[in-house]
Amino acid sequence: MRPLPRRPLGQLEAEVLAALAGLGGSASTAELVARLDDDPAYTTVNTILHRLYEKGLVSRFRAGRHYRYELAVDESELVADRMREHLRHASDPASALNRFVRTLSSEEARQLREILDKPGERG
Amino acid sequence: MNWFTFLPLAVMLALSTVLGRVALPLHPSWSARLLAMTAAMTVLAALGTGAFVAINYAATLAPSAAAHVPEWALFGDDRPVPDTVGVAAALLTATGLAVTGRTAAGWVSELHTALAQAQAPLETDVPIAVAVPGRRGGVLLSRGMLRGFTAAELHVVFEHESSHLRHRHHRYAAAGALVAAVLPPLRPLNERLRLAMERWADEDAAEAVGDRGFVARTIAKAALAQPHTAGAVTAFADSGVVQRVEALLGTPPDRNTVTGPLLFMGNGFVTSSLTAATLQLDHALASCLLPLLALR
Repeated sequence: MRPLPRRPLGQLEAEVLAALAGLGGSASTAELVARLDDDPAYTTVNTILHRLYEKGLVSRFRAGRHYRYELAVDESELVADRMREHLRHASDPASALNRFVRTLSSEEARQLREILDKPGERG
Repeated sequence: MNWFTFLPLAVMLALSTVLGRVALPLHPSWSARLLAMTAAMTVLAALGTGAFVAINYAATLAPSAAAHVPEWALFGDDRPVPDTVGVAAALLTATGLAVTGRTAAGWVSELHTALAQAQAPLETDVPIAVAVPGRRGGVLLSRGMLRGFTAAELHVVFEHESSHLRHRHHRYAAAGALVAAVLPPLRPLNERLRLAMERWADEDAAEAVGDRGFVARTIAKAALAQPHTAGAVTAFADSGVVQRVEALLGTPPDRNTVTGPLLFMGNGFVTSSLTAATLQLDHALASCLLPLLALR
């Protein structure tokens, strides 16, 4: 029987994406395995990469016998109604999902620009 | 029934109110744990007290049925519960349970939508990243994020989201959402808990990336790229982005390796004892143990 994965897949997916982003350009599966904590199996990482590829989050190209992967950044057009659906997630206090940033008020946007424009903070 | 019946709940409500107003001088990971525990226990205490008073009111109305209720569930002083208190408790408990059910149903449908959507990047130019919990979960991203952010910035985003997933932040968020839904005056507690969770993930990302200023700028970049909403929509809640950015630009918080666990355990002990009291667990325990002592 196959042992249960030690981490939930979602988390490993996020870690693989983080590793891929950390490496900059493209990476092979072996390079990613080396960058991940807790030594996940090569095949596990390959499966994750395949899933990410199917989701359209990474793109791949063949280099010799193996694929190399990179973060997918492709131009695709905007579908207005799906977008509205997502913006709803954001500031709902009853939500159990954690979003990277919530929508700012214009006052907060002003404060934020002020903080960032302070000399000495950029560098 | 006497004022002791409501004492544990009163203490919990007071504690929650204070924690909603005052920022804890702790590492965000400990603040989040403490706030989530308090939120969950307060909801339980409120529902427990309400249910308990309602049961006793029912016993007042139908004394014959009361004989079938275990002794520990009754006040024991055989004084009737006044109508005003009894009806109010029954109504509030029913409302609380209904709201709990509705909120939980909301999470399930929200999670389903998010899981379905997480299968492909969102087709929008707004940079969005959401941690979707569960086995089939992951990070929900938008095209705008993939396109507009450099690899180094995406690294920050993924580290932030994977911290949410690793620490199961959806459970904390659920406790906060519940307290805000069942006890609306305690919304500030939920807001503080959410901020603590984001700060926790920010600190994890900063640690992984090794550059606090860069994490701060990435958050600011994502926040400023969000479409502006009309004032009225956001009036009720602060997004917390300004505090997050300021905190990251300041000195890193102390990890509180001793105070954190101590305060968390202390808070856990106090809140769970109070909650147990509202649920009459002490009486239940005593009614189980006393016969054992008698056998000895």
